Amino acid sequence: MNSTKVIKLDSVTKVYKDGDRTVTALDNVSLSIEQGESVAIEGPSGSGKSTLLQILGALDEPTSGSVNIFGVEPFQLNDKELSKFRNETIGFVFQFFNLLPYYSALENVMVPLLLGGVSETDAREKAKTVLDELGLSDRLNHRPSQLSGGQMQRVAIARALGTEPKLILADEPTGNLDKENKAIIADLLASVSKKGITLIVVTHDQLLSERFGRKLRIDGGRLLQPSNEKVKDES
Amino acid sequence: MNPKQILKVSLRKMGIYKMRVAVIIVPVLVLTAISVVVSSELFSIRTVIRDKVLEKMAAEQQVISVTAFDEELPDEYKSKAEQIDGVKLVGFEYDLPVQQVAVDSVDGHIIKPYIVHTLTKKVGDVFSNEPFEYSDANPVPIILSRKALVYQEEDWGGKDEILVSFDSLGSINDLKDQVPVKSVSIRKPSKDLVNKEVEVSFGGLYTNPSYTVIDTDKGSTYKKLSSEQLQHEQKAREESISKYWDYQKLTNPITFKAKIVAIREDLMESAMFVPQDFADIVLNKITTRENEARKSTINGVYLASDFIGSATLDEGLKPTPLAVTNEQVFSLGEVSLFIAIGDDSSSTGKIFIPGLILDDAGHAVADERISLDDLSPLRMDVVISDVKNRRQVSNDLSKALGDNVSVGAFSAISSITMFTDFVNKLMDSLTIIFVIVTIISVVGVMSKIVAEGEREIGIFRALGATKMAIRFLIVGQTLIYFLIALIIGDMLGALSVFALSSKIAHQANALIERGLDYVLPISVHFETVDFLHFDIATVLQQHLLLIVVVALVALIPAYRASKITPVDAMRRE
Ligand SMILES: Nc1ncnc2c1ncn2[C@@H]1O[C@H](COP(=O)(O)OP(=O)(O)O)[C@@H](O)[C@H]1O
Ligand SMILES: [Mg+2]
Repeated sequence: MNSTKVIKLDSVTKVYKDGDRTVTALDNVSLSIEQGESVAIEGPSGSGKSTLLQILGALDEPTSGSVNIFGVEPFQLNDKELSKFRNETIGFVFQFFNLLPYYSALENVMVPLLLGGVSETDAREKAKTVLDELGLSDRLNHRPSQLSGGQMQRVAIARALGTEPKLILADEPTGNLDKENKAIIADLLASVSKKGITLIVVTHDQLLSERFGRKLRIDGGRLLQPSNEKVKDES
Repeated sequence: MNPKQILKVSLRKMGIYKMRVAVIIVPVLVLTAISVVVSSELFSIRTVIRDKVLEKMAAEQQVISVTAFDEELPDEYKSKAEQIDGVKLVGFEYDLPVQQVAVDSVDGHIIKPYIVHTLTKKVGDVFSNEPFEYSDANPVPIILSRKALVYQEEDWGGKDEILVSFDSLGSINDLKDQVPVKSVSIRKPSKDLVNKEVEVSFGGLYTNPSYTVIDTDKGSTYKKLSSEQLQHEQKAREESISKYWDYQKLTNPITFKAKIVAIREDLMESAMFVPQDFADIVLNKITTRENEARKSTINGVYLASDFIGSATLDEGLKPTPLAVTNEQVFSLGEVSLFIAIGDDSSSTGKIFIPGLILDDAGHAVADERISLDDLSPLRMDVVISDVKNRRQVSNDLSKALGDNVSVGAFSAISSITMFTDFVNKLMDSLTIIFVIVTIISVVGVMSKIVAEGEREIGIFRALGATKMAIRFLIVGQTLIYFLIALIIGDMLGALSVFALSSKIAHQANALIERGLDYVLPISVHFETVDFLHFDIATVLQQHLLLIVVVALVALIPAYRASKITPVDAMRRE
């Protein structure tokens, strides 16, 4: 049914202009993803994975094509509406964690909550709960520099989860982690998916992509596997 | 982002960007501190001038002195002056040919004004709170110039002989320090001196000096005289004088009970003012006494008097070569009379005999009494109705009276107004410098912080911060750094003012005592509290202006920051 297709990309092209050089990072990509689906995006470096994720996350506007995420065409929104949409609907997990260095773990998780207008007290409570769930209750007041890579990424996931988004996007979340931590993060993301949150993860990591319902391959900005080819649906 | 978040981000970032933030904070802090100190001190100076100087001079500002350059002032000048717009009244001043005036005691000291002026009642009333006139029943009202409030003090430091070597003298103050006989100014505010009853004496003999000064090419040696030497000097003087005068009569001055009714702060001369109607009484008494004291005509004795003005000599009296040329006796600044004992100028002993009067016609030791009518006015006091018109009236007077007169256009108020104007400009310039430095450091540093914080701003944007929120963050951050600087600067400034005030008061007193005293007869004593005023209004005004400027200028980096996209957060480290 159409209504379950919560993410729809139609003929999305992204061209970067770098001086007089132009790079077509995405070339006429169309895909749709259903509510609660977990999708792995694979592809060689420079193939356009991050670009795709940025467009899915309403962080970057495509050069052409249409984007519909949870019934919203984000790039038609004004800045205020778009910011609210990002804050409420999407959770982002970056390869390089992207934690604010001068904030503690707890405060980092509180940031999107506070930006969404949640009160300081509620934000603190919520952040504590989420961090606790991720096994970081003893690291609440540590700064990112005082945490290991795995812990940092868990804080980043906690930050993404805190606002209870409908969609979580992760760009090579295990890319900078050792084997042990890779497994922990993989487990975590799998459990996120089980909660019914739509999950899209860019990864090279076989171990990780195996855990997801669908794999998309991208090369040279083109989607290799047709978007409608559904492998299995765990939800 | 709410203000609390902005504050939190700003403070946390300060920890990371210590050096950068310091570039904003330190200059602002220093300039703030300087502003506080400068505005405070300027405010203090203005207050001091207003309370301690201008108020004192208020009465003086109403009077313009007109002096003839070489002649007497013709009577018609009075009517000419009276016709000028803004002139309230005019009175002539006379200088009394009375020597050796002493006032005892002013604040416990004997002071000796160099000269005695008369003032008409109406002019005197400008300065005095009570009628400036003489009546038998009351003490004589007198006005003293601030410059007259000087007494002599000897300080030998336990020695009998002091060499003041020329080599060791760097400045006039060194001389002041070394010479054992000092002139000390009485610096009491006039309110503490006015209404005090004193005794004024005219005439009488100087007390013989208790020391001698021997000048050599190396310097001057001050030497105390022994009691035998003193007695010997005393005796010699008495013998010389007694040949022609009753020594006792000359020795004792004529005294009156008097009351200080005002101190004039504006004059550069050491003077005492008495009511005009008192002049004749003094002159009468002194001439009478001189006539009575005189034993015989002084034959073959060179005699001269050098009271202010000139006097030709009586027949049979010849001038001493010292003081007289062409039979004209000139003022040498001392009020005294020289006689040479013997038949010619080379003969022995010249003795000061103060208290003798020669009239204008040169009637030495006059047989008849002299009165004010025998004298000529040397100064005209023009009282104006409004101090604001002082300059205008001065100009009009100059025009009406021609080149023969000098019109005292000098106004302490106008020079002080100029000074305070300058002071205000100084503060304005400081603020302009402040604004420029602030703009440069704010734009520079905040742009740098924004550029380096691209990733972090991108994260905020990815997490849902609006462009507006980012602008608020940057403007807020800038204002917070700026406010921190202002607050620390204010505190430092305030501390400096506290630390400096006693030093400044000390310096100001030293300046007045050791320098300014020669130029302007301001006789004030500064206390530490005089320099503890804070010009809160000016400082706040400046702060507000700067805060507005900073908020506006911060919009430049703020707009730059709001253009940063969330994608920028994804960039590799
Ligand atoms: N901001 C940009 N400006 C210019 N070219 C870009 C920019 N971002 C990405 N690219 C280019 O677009 C292509 C796809 O990049 P990206 O989506 O980051 O690939 P991936 O994440 O798969 O490694 C690459 O060739 C990359 O160099
Ligand atoms: Mg990538």
